[in-house]
Amino acid sequence: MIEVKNLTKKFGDLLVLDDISETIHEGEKVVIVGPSGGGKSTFLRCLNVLEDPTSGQVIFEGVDLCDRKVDINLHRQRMGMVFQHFNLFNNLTILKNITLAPVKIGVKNYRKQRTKNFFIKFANLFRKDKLQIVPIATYPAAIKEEARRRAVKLLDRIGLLDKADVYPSTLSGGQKQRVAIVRALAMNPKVMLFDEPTSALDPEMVGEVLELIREVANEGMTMVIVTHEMGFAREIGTRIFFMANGKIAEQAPPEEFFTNPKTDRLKEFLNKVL
Amino acid sequence: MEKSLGEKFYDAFIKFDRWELYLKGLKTTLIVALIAIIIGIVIGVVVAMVNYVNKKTGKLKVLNFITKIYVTVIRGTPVVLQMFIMFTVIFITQLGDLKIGSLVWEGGADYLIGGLTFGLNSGAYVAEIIRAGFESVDDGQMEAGRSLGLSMGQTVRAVITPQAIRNVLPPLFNEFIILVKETSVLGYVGVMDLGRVPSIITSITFETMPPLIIVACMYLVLVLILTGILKLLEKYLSKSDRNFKSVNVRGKSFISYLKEKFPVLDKKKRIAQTAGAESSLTDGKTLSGGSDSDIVSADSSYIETKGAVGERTDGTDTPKEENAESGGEEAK
Repeated sequence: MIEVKNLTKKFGDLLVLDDISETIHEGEKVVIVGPSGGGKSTFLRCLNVLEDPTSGQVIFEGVDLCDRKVDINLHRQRMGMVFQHFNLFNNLTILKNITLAPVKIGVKNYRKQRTKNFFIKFANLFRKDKLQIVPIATYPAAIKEEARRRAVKLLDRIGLLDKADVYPSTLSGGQKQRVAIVRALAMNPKVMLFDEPTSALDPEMVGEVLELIREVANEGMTMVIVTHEMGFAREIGTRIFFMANGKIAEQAPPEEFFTNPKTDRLKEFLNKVL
Repeated sequence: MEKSLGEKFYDAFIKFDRWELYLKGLKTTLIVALIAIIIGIVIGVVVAMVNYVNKKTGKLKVLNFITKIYVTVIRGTPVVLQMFIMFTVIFITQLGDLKIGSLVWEGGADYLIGGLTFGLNSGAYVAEIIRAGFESVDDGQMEAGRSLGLSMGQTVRAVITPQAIRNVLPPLFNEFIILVKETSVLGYVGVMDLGRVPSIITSITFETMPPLIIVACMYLVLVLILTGILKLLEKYLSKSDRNFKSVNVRGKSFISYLKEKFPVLDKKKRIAQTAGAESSLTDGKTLSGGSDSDIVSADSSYIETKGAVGERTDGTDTPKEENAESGGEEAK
């Protein structure tokens, strides 16, 4: 599903990702662990090109996202992302946080189609072989209503329906992160990318967020998770990457990863964190 | 024979309907300032957006270069000179009086050229203020927008700009206040604005003090009104604050906030009160008086009734609407 080829990222002279090639298949839950500064977050952010790779390719559903000609926004809609610091839109209510992207994108597509149809009609005035007008399936009001209904459903699922009209500043960290997760889910993504989703939370709130991630994982979502929660990594991952010095130093299924580490670097790391 | 202070003020303001002159000046000042503020906001926001996008992505290099020149030139020259250049070089040529605005209405040229002059001037300062505002918004907001598949422009419009505007309201209104007072230099090019009234009155009554005091008070009132608008806007925009509790405006537009604060403004309620029918309050459609805000609220009530949860309102508050509203408020 996601194919990474010779991915390299430099910040100035600093080599953060060093020629990484890897494939993530549909339905996999890849967990990335490793020491700070090892390139975990950068790798994850390169997957949806929030960070522009210096060289290499990220091929998602057969399209190279690093290609400048590709409409990256179209493909990002299929990749949800959850951040360490939640990044909810502070100026919008919780409900609007969730509906913003579906509505904006839906309405934009509608306008595009309408403009296109207008030009087709105009062109048809001068053509003998008439062009076919593409009928418009949904209208802005319907798009808004649909997005709203979906958002209400998602909020109901995480038990925060009563918070729909409040602003993010009134929510606790755990609530914010859960909203951030359903905000990403509202776009119907194929892949979810989690960038240390519990690192900025109180220990007490970590559980509720992990529970939601677990639920989403059990529905068969493809996931790439950067985390420091080793127990969670072991439980949920189908494959675990150990990233250090800009490379995937070791990878294995969780049992083997934790019980039988091969490289010295990973042994040392596991000794420290476990 | 020395006149008393009261007589002097009477001479300067009331005698022979001289207050009409003040009002005429006030009208000019208001119209010029309003045009200038609108042009200033538009230019400022556009320039700031160009700078921001250029900084984030490296695109729009040519535009960014042009805006830099614009800001440098405008900030580097006195507004009086800019005004003289606009009035005597650009809009009045050797070919004769090429006063474009006069074609529209009498005296319109002065308003338009004046508004354009001060708008262009203000735009440079507003741009710098808003640019600072953009930079004060957390980068994560942009990343979140982009990660959802929104384009750069969509994110800037829906997320970054509203937050930036909120951060920069005080310096922005400071700039508007300066702008309103700055228009008093229009007298130099012979435009009858408020700042020129005292000299005219003085030349009639030979008393300098009263007209100066009167005009000073009028400027003061203008600035106080602006400050009042700033306070209202600040309060409205602080709705996303944790401890905002003055009026319940969650997810509502600025207009509905004003309506709650000043019930007089609420057309629906007024009609309902005069009709004495309480039940008709809920039905927006039958009561819509034809104004835009009524249509909006009728629309949202429609969504409310259709939505899964009856309580939630879908206030259609986009930043565009807010801008329009604040503009309308200033017009009042």
